Amino acid sequence: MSPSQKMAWGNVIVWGTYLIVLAIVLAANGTVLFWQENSLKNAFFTITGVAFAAFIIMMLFVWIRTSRAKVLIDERDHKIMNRANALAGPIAMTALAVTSLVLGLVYVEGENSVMSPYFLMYVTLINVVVYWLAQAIHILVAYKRN
Amino acid sequence: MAPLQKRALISLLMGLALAIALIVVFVTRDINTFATDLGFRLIVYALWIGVPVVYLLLINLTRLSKLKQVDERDKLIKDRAPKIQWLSVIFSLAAWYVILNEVYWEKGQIPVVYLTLIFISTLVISSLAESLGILIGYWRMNRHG
Repeated sequence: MSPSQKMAWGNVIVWGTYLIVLAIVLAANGTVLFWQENSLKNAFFTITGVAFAAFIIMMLFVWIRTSRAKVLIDERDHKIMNRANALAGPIAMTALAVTSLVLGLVYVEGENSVMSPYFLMYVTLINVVVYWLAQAIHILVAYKRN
Repeated sequence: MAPLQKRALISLLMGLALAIALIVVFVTRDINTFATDLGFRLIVYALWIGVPVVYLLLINLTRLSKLKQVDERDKLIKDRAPKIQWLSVIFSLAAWYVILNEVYWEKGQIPVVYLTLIFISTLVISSLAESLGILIGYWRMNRHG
């Protein structure tokens, strides 16, 4: 298995689990004003922190293993990675648009509607997570096809 | 100058001109009038849509593959550009987060209208960054081979 494939599997496991856990927590306890509840806010930060820690550990693990084994990355790996990046960008942008639209629809009540500053972080996080997931899924599919 | 490089440069310059016009429109008008003034919104939408349309016309929609001077190197550069595009988007989102947080720190709430502006700016930066990524790709390849 190439380093890109290992990272892709790690990304799918870490960020896929992150989105599922977050969806369960928010669906079970959340309201549209969940950012006003400290317990839910703390839960969000804990889940996000654990996901990022797992991501960093996974990246370090793959990097150390690749360096020790002196694995060569060839043209095919580069090509798959470039294609994955090209595909993940528009998908992440679409996720950003959908998130902005949904948040706008939920929170706009009048001309002077406001939202939590945390939402800006959520929008950024969604962009990052969707990008990594889309990239990882494309890499796995591309290796399977080739 | 390679055809793709030339198109990326034109796209970047035209995109920058539209982006500067967009910034000028926002600087000269109050942000709160965005929700109430239809004329203001239409100007913003026209300038905003202009940047990706210019990029798409120059880089993606016109038949680049029919040009004889486009080779494997050009395709490789074009394929690598999205990495710079994504990094620019992430940094712009982070900048929005920091700036808006600092400006509205005491109020603790941010006007929802900023969500639209964040999306507009991200799409504009994304288009500009891809053109920039192509130009950086040529610059790096000419320098390092």
